[in-house]
Amino acid sequence: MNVKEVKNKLKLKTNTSKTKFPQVKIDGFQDAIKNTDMLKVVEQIKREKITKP
Amino acid sequence: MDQPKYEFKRTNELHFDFISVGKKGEIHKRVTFIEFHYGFFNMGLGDLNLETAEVDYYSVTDNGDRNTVLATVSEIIESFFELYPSHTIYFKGTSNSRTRLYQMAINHFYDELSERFHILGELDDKMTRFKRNTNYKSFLILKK
Repeated sequence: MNVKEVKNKLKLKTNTSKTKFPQVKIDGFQDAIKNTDMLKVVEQIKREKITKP
Repeated sequence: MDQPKYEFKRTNELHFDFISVGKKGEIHKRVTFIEFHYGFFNMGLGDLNLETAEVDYYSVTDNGDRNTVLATVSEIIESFFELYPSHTIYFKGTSNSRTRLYQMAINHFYDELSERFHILGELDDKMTRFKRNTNYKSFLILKK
């Protein structure tokens, strides 16, 4: 994570409290993490991006 | 992408606003990104109420400009990845019909989208590369 990303992440925390984000989207994401290979697949794609010339 | 798009402005790193212009007039739209897990942003599209600054993610606008709105969202995703190039965007609809709408949109723009992004769909217990004519529960996008 570079400096820009860290700064953006800090701003994110102050902004999310005002946002009423749909619970169905939050639940869908949590379910996908729990019940699918999402994290593994994303890591795999990121590795391919790094190694691809 | 040849499809017309609306101009949008980034009101902060997580909010991108634009105005939909169609048969029902001008409707302010906001695309929001929220990080719920490190490296993953959950994306939402809704109608922005300028008086309250609240976003209605459940509204069915039917402004007759669906493809223009979706092409604009595609450009917003590109812009978002300029800030967070190594992150992943997750999205699904607030209803099954809206998720199907997103799927139809990806189908429609797939050739152009797939040149810029990795697109995956949730199918049973797998996240697989997006294929046309398959029904997914949710989607992931990564920058190529």
